[in-house]
Amino acid sequence: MDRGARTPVVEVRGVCYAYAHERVIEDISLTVHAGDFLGIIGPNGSGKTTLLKILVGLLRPSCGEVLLFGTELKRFTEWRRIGYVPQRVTAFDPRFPAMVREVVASGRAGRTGLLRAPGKEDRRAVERALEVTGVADLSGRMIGHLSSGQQQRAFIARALVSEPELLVLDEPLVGVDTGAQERFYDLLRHLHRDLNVTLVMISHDVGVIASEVTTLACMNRTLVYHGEPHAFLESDALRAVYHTGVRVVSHVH
Amino acid sequence: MPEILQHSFMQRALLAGVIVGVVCPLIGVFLVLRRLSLIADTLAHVSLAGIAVGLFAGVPPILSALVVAIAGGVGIEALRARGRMFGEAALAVFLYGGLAVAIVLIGLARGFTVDLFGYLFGSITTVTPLDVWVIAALGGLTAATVLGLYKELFAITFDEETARTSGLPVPALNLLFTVLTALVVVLAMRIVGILLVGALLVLPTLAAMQVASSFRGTLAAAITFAVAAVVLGLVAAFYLDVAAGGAIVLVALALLGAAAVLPRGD
Repeated sequence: MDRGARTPVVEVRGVCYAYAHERVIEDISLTVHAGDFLGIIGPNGSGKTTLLKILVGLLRPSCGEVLLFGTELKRFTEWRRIGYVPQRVTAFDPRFPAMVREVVASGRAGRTGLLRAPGKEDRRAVERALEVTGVADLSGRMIGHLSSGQQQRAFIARALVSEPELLVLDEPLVGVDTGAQERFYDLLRHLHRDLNVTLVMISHDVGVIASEVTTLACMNRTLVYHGEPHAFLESDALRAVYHTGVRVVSHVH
Repeated sequence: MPEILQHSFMQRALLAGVIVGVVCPLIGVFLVLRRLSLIADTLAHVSLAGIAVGLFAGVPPILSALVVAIAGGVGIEALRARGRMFGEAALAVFLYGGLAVAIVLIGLARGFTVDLFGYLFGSITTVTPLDVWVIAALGGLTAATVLGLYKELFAITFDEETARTSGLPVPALNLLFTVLTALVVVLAMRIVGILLVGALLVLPTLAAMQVASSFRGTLAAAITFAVAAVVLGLVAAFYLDVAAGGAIVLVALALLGAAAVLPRGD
């Protein structure tokens, strides 16, 4: 992969966000370059999800500016270049009558265009997304009948089906068992290294994420740390943010 | 020709009923899965105010009901988009507002209570040729719009937040969908009555969810159940001389009961 060019994909400059009058994030500045894998960690309520929601256009920052692929957030319209995998816990009723294939295909609606029926290229993209995430065998099953790990991969397939250059994931591993987590990281590595997808991911598992990412950001309303992951594990920032001593299990691949 | 088809009023009722049976689930499936079923009932009560205006002013009630219901739908969406009222409680504003306006107008002009009963409980014997034309035209428009926006409506129904991030114009689509809901409520009202309109949107969907395991399958099954309920209900009403609206909803309930014991086509 050509890391020499270092094209900025996301530029966050002095961003803050307030719900009512409470500032949940303050003065965040960071840049994500093409080919990066940024992990975001931080305690509950530290504003991680808020920052992610700003990056995918769900929230407007209260101050500061955000550039996506070099375009200011307000003028950005190429949302198909960004894939979003929300927290699994966000209300999804297992009785919802939809096949995995239907859910995955829905991620392409914005790219296909209003009132247009999906064409051959759209169907091929659905097949590719099902294949790459390993849920092709399950494509005819009801989404609610899958295990949580399988559902999570189906939701990643939905995010990948618009062929995004940036994939944004919000704690995708909550409630996913350990075996499925291994497969999940295999998938992320494949996307990152082989398909050149830039990744931004929130995780609560400091040890695992630190060994997977190229850059680590630690938030606690403000940006506490931003840089090389292993240096973070050896710094005081970890203890400072989490207060208690976090036992970090480092996984080396 | 069987006796039921020899009467022009039954021909009109069956024709209008089948169209309504196709269109109601096309809206109902999305409403139920978005947990917005109450919008149908709310718009039905709002359209009662429109009926009262029509009877009061001497314009065809189906037209005045359409105008008032669409205005109500736009109002509901505006209130929902601002998000300042507590969930479904926002709907109460429109439900009781519509009902109150209707009651006041009815009180002001006594004498059309018979007509009004026809709208409250449905009145297939009085479906006019104008009603059939309006139902066919707007039913066709609604079906074409829902099928044309199928992938967008599915994406929003499954996960509205992620649909927003994929660049879909979600607020505009929500507004359009609520306006279509208002249309369908007014169309169905003539057949089953204002008080039972919600049943025709919700019950076939619930029955379909018992047997289908895909979204497309759910839509197809819901349409089948709704058309069957309307046709069987009208036939029962004709031969047994019972109220059509009630008969249709009882058939829909029976179908739901039967679907609940059937195995799912997984």
